[in-house]
Amino acid sequence: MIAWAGLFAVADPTGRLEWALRWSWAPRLAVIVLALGILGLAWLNLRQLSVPRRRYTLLGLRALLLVSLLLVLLQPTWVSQSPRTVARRVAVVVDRSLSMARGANGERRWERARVAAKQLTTGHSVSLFTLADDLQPVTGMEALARTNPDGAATDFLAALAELGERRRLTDLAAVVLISDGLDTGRLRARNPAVESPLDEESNALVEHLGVPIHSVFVGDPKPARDLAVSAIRASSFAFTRTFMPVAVDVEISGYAERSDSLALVLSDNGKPVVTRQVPLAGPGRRTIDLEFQPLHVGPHVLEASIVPLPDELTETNNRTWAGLRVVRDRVRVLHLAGHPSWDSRFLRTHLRGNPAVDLVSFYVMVGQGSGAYVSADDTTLIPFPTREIFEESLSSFDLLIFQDFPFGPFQIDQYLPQLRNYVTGGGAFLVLGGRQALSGGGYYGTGLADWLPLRLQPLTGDDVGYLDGPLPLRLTPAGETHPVARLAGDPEANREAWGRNAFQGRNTALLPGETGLVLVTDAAGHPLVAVGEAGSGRSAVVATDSLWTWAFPATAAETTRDRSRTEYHRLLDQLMAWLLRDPEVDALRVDAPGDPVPFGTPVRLQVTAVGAAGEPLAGVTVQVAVEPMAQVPGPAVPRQPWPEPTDVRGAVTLQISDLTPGPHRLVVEALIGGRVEQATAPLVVLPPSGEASLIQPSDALLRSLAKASGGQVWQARAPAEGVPMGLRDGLDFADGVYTDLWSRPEVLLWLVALMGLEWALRRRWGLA
Amino acid sequence: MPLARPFMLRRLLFATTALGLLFAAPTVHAQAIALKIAWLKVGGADQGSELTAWAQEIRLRTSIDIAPNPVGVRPEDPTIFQYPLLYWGGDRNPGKLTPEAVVHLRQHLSTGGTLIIDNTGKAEASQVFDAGVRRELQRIFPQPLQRVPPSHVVFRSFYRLDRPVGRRADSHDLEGLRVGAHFAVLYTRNDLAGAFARLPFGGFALTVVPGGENQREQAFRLGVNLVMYALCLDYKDDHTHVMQLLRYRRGTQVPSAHTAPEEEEP
Repeated sequence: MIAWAGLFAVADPTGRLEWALRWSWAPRLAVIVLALGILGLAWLNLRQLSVPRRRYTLLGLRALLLVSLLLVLLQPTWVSQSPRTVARRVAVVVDRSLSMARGANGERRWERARVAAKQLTTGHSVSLFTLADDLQPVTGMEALARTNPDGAATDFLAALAELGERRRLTDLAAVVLISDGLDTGRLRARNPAVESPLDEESNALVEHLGVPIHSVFVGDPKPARDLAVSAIRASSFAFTRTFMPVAVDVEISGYAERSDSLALVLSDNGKPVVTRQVPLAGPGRRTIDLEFQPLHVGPHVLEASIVPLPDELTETNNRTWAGLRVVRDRVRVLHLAGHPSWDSRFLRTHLRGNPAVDLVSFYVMVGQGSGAYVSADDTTLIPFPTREIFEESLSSFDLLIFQDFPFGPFQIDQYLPQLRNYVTGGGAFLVLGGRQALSGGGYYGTGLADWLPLRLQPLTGDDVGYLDGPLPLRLTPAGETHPVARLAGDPEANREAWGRNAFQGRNTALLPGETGLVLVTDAAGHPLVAVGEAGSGRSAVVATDSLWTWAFPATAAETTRDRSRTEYHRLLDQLMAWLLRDPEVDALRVDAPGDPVPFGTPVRLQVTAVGAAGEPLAGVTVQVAVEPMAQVPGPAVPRQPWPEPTDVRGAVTLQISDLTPGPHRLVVEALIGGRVEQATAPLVVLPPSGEASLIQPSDALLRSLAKASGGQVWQARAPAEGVPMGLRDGLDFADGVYTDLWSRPEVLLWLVALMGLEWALRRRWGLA
Repeated sequence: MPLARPFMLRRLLFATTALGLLFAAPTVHAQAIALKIAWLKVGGADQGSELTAWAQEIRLRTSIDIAPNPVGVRPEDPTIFQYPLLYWGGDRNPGKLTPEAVVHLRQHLSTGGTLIIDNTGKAEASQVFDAGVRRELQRIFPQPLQRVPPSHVVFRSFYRLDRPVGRRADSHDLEGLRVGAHFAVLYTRNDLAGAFARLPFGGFALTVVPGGENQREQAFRLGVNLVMYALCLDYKDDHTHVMQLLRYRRGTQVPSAHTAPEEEEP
């Protein structure tokens, strides 16, 4: 082995000897001690030989054998490192994403990309790839001709990273990208402004690749005609009734000569809420700033859409969506009282006692004819700000309360459209009774009455619209299960609670409404408490001005007083919660994802059913349907029972797959307490990628890559003239060649010969 | 006297309007719903007639639906809880309230009721009444009466008032007893009811000193403000902020700290 090593050293002066078995000092010491021990034993054994020459000969043979075995054990290897020449190639990567199928004047970008690829590959030895969401090798131009530009994404960074992994970097001389520059992958995600330079991670990848990244930019001869809503930029979190800014990115191209404008519509859960005219002429990329006021707590889907034009490239990018979760910070209550009274006093105390309530009150403090005795100079009276309230500020309130508030004196009829918009557009409206309320207050025949859960009748005879006297209260069947009328958890206790309370008068000329629910009546069945839906809003009527007698009961019994006061506050709280659509009072609740769901991902939702006392209801079967929201085509999931009922927690998890991209409305129904309860939740499924929304080619990213890597960008017209496509000889560093010196047959023969010679001499000289 | 003529006209107007209200199908609610002042039968005084005039002035000047005839109640009687607004007037030693009366008044005032105390001493505030009232109030609530500052909303709850006057004007302060954040007890030492007292045919029964009819008008105004405060609490404090609140809701302006004194139930 030593000799061979010497031969290798002579033949290969740049090589070196390596020991494969690399021991630390402890085993080395152990082996040396062991070897010396063996030699010591051998010496003792050989002392019986009388001839010293024989003794030393055998000892030398054994020592040589031992050293040879040790050398084999250390596995000597010769490492040869002679340089060699490696051919380096250019990787030509052709973008085959969906955007390459577009173009202007009927010419697809893809065709021009193929022509450029052919020019680059003709006469050169290149590696050909296509690029979409991943990198695919292509065997030649024929295979490229058979490829369709239908990739759902364009991810430059992923492709470059994969290129680096596929080929040994030493083999790669350069990369040439043939593309329209529209990236939908990580690069765009990290560099939303395409004009911005590469970020740190992108630069690191380019540096690791270590070769110039050239590009052949496949632009359009003239801009394609297209309108695109590329993004909604808004907070994913908002407060009810608080205006929030929403920025919509719009891209308009090819319509510079037109002077008209188009409507950009922002919709909330499928309902248009803001419209803005966008002129077609002007910068191609622009941001439209809108303001939007969410009305309800819970998940929302915002949609921004622009009216499509008949000659634009595609309509698929004319709308986009974003998720929004709306919470309530404070309940904003506008309280209008027809006059100061105990009912208004205790209601005000109740509202002011709730830290979550932001209360604005207006009392009518002087009566008709009081002017003769009251001078405005001496008082703190202010004019009733009718216009400010009904024209300017109404929409900012969550709840509007009319407490014994008359219709006539304040010209409310002028503001009926605003009131109707407020209530039917998602507001909450509570009417508390009294002599100046409802029919007695002049509301019969007005539009306002149409949004109430009770039907108003004209006053006849001596009826002044109000009747005094104590009235026992009765829960209706609807009231027994309704969350508003839940004074006690147990149904029997609830009936008893209503039975022991009373009103001290009621509004007359009232009948149950067509859509409202009467929850409480007197013994004769006159409606006293009713609730109802009014468009997207809700309304309720408590047809008495004596509710305060619950807060200040006419008894000295402390427990009775406490119980009555508790029930007063509970009834008002539950009325407010129901009117404000607080999810906590719904018998059926849906927890839906607030963020848009990626296409192809199953949507998971939890539905919870609770009973009249808020207890979870097990074994409830829910019906599930998914409806597309307005204006978006797509198959609906028909109504069907979910196979599993609710569990002991009252919950069941739904998993819905195969939803089409766009906004949907999930509708869940269940029979609870004899009534069909319904809950809805919006969902939005994202399109497969943003490829459809990117229309106009842009060489900005290609230039950034070229700048970072030392490459260049050419137009697709004549790429072969400039791109350095020749093979380059490698400045190579060949890997070492390892030659084992210990496992050769000569080594085995050497060991056998040593052992045989030692054995033969030992026998010849009389040793066993 | 330059003020005499307007007040003569006013008296005539009052008399005719009051008669009209009494005879023309009054729209007064049942006892429990309309505001009704209940005077405490403590110490033997009967303020029914003075309070009737007070109620009539409130009806004339404001939109408050108030019953014309106040009622007397004994504090140990549970019917006290039918009347959230109590009046306790007198010029003699009220004596010692029964334990039941103390409990009732404590319950009443702790749960939203209001008590107006009026020292009806003739020439000056009655010292024995004053001492007796303070003593009995101590049995109801441990905290002492305190001066109601001139900036308090009770002086702005309807009329703008500088000072609390009644038939007399020798005491410059209104005192009150806070229960929670609002004054559940208000005490005037200037014989407020005396300024309201009327003769059977419309004239005022007592001379108002030293300010005459002008002072009587101020007394009526205090009477209105006290009742308005019982019904509206700090509503007028809200108004100093209303426009700002309305502007805030239209935009993103952050409202300034709420400077109005809190007036909430305990």
